[in-house]
Amino acid sequence: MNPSARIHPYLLFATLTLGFGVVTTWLLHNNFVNDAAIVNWASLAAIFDAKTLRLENLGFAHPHGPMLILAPLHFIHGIGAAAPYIVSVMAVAFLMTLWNRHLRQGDYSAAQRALLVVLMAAHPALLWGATGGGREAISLLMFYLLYRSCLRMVYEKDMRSFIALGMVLAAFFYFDVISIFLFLALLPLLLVLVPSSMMREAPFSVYIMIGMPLLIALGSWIYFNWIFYGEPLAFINYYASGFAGARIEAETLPWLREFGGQFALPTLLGACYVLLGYPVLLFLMLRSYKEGRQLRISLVLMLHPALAIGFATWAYYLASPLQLSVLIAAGVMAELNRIRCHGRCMVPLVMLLGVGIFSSWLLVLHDDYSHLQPWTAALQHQQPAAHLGDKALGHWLAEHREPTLLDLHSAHQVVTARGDAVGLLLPFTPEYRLAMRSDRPAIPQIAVPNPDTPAGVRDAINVRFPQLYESGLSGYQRVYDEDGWRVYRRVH
Amino acid sequence: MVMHATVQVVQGKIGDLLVARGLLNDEQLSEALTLQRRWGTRLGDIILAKGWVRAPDLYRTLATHLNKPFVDLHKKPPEPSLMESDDLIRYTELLVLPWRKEGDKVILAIADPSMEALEFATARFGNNTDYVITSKFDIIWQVQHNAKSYLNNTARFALAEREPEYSANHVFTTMQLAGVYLLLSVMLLALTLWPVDTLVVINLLIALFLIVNFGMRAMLGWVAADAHIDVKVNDDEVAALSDTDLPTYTVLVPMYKEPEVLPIITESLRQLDYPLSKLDIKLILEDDDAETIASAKRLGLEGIFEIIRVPPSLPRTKPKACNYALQFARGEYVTIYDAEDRPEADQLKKAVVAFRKASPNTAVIQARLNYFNAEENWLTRMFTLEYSLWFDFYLPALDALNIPIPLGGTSNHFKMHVLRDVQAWDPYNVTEDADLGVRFTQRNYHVGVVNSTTYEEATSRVGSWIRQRSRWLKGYMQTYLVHMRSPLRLYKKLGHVGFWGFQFFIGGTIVSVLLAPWLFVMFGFWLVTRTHDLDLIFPPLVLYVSLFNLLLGNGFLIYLSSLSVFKRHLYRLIPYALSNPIYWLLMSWAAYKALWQLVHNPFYWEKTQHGVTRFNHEESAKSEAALRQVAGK
Repeated sequence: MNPSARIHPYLLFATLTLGFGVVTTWLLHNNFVNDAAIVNWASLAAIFDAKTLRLENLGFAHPHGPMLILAPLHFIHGIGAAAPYIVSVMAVAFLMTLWNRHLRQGDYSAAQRALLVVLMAAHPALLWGATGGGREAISLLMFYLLYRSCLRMVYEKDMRSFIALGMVLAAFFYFDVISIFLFLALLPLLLVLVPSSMMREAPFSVYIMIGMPLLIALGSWIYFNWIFYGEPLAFINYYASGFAGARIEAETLPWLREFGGQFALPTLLGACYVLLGYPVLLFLMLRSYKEGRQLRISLVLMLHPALAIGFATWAYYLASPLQLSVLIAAGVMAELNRIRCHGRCMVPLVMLLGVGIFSSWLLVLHDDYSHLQPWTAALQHQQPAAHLGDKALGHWLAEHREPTLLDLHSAHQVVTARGDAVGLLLPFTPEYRLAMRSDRPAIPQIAVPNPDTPAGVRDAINVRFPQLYESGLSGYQRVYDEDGWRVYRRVH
Repeated sequence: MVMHATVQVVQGKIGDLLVARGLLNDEQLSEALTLQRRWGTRLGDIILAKGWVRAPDLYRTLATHLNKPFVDLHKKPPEPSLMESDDLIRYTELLVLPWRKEGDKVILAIADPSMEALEFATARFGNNTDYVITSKFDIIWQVQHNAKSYLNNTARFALAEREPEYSANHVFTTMQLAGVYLLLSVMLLALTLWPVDTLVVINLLIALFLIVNFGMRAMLGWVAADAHIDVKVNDDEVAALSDTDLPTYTVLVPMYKEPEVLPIITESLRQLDYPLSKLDIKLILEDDDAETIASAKRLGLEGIFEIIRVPPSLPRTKPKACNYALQFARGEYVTIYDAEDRPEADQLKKAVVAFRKASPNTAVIQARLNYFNAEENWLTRMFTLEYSLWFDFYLPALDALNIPIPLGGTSNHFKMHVLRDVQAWDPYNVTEDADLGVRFTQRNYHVGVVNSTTYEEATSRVGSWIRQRSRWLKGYMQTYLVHMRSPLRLYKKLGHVGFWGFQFFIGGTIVSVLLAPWLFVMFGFWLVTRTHDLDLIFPPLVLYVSLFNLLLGNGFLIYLSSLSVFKRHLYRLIPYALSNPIYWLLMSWAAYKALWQLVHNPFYWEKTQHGVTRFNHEESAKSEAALRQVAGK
């Protein structure tokens, strides 16, 4: 076995991209839709197609990172709503290519690396991240970097490791709100990560060094909300905010219905999820112990997500423990770089990884709390098409391009189906604000969803004009009425 | 009879003579001989360095030993007409000077009759020479006394006359004044014709400048945060040095009205782990500073200390004093310590190793500076955070990236011949060290750093801090103006990385502190009034960059500052980094004072008063010992 043998990074990246791409195509063909991907893409289209390009038009209800990373793809004709899926595929392919490089530095042979890459690619956590089109792909990458920083902190103890950890946490915040819970969960665990002399001498300073970038990021977000919306905590208080997590759906989600607001039990269950999904962690701990290496990294890797699950459930953020436990796959990858496992050691490692993959698939397929059912279902067979009403309106608006008043928050799928947002009067436009202030808005066209639907009841136009859907407005005539949407056009 | 000056030992060994005369005891002689074997220097130098025998007694005994007359030059001074101004440096280096003329024969007064000194005498005065013995202090005193004016003028004007393009004796060149005038005129015209657009452009330029400035500091922080960048010289390399191979080291200690710290610095210098007889320490005192001179005399210092009295003249600056003293220096290397400095004991040895390891074109090695009274009050804590960032992060990173290093005020170790070759310090520049670093880089010399620390006293009073900082910032302005007299030449000499590094590190420091209060005021005004009047000059792009600077840029600088003490394990200072915006405002205050002085009193040296710390010596020593323990050898 030759550790220096090279798997060409471009070739590996291309192969992984192709592989994940095929699975994604299959999923999309089976009518899989990730709502988060649609929200990101529609928001991006909305700000790019507005008269003036303003970043604040993205709103602050969701981290901007996933949208900004999509931005270059907006200008490539023909990609359309597939863009978020392309980003996910490429992000995970990049992560695995990077991992292969780090494994090579850890003296794994090319065959061993190839085997490990294939095994991890088959893990539902990575496959979901790569093909789901959501923020998980970048989150996996961030989590991988987070654990690399933790490893560096334990081994190098230099300032760069503190900066790296602080910066990764801050950057993570711009991609995924889960970073806040990961940060909270990390705080007690720093006791075992940071050199004990530092913790004894100035614990507060240690927390400043690691937490300040994230706090600056969070403070900036609060400030943006204040200067642009006049309300510092608007990003949390808004009903559909990504920062509020699953709170709004708490009653419909089994996990939150059962454990929402609790900490201890979800943490314990979280630990079970971690162990079930990643039994290899126990092996890594044993291996570390036998080699006289640092046990604490493996311990942190096991406890960290469990604690984060506890915090996020207590805050009614988490829809399902899997939402967080999938990230551990990246932590395990980082941990495998550290453990030099060669020869006979590879056998139990591969076996336990295999067991983990099997049990993880069982979990995502059969766990009542799993939020991945739409994805697993689409993996298996074709699903009924979703959001048909939204899509139909989108196509209709694409043909009837009059300026149309529309609440983007209930119409992301409409904008995506329309293909662009040119001429749409969306909440951040002055015309929209003027119309909402007026009792008799003077705009060419208004689209409004059925207020009896969950999305329609919160639609800002419905809230402002409660009778609009049913009775229309004086001076307007109904020109569209299909699948829960009505459009009224001004009569000249 | 024509006599050729040669060394003829007539009477016994000098050590035995000293013992026989009761000037030295047997134990001292034995120890001196042991040291002589270890250090490889003359026995007389060791005895003088140890302060066991007074210099006149030693030289009298030397005269007996060599069977030559001893001459007290105070009583029988040399003939001034025999002294050549071009030879002054050789006189002080070789400790020889022409004393009298008897017919055709030149009699030399010599303190160290080495072959080199005698060869020099032969080369200058022919074979018809003889010599008398005198004290090295007499020679130095006579050179000072007889060539005061020449030496003083050299100290003041050498750079201005030989390389005027690098002298700050003119603050602005005509071209620079014309450029500033033109720029202001265009700006005023544009403000009149297109007020909003012009303000937007100005705003955008400021925002872009600040973002690049932040970016550069972030990059420097990241580069320096790597643990591997730190160790330049390790303890094993220092231990492997042989004392006999060590060169003579000149240490310049410029002082002014600091009699109270004189015992502290002399004690610190005695503690240096370097053969004492190879130390050539110059206490540089102003001729009119009677207090410090009297204090130095009272201390009865050993032979390694020489007092250089600088005649009063303008500009009254530290670099002028150092230039003056440099003409008496005998070392292969030379360094500067301030009066309150406490260098780590092995610093000179580390510098020697660093020079030996460095590329041949390395002209100077900068040691790190930090404070022993860091925890005295808020100001000293903030100062320590800033200094740690500067010396533990920025300078090693600049070194790694090959960007010109603005040297710190003390503890920079030079190769003597290179320092003299570049005309030493600019006496008109009040941060002569920063200027020298840039000049070295322009002349293709390398400026390096070494992992050894000198502990200083942080200014603990706001008034004193403002004075010190205004001098530093004024010096930065002078340095920037001097080197930007010909930007194209600078670009060619420094290359892109060096040039832009200079722009943002030197220029950026000045501009950012001058801008800060205006930006704070504008932000405060908006915060209080929530006016929309500023919206016009903050179109989206400008607004985003400005917001980035305000929140993330400043946030990152505070973060970086908090991390700065990491390498010194001064974790307790970290929370104080959060108060940096107040500290930045103090800097801005100092910057405007500096700007005012740059125009009205450019060469005025704002003296920093040392020895005012409330940390008593015991506390200081404890704090320093703790710092040394953790500073990471």
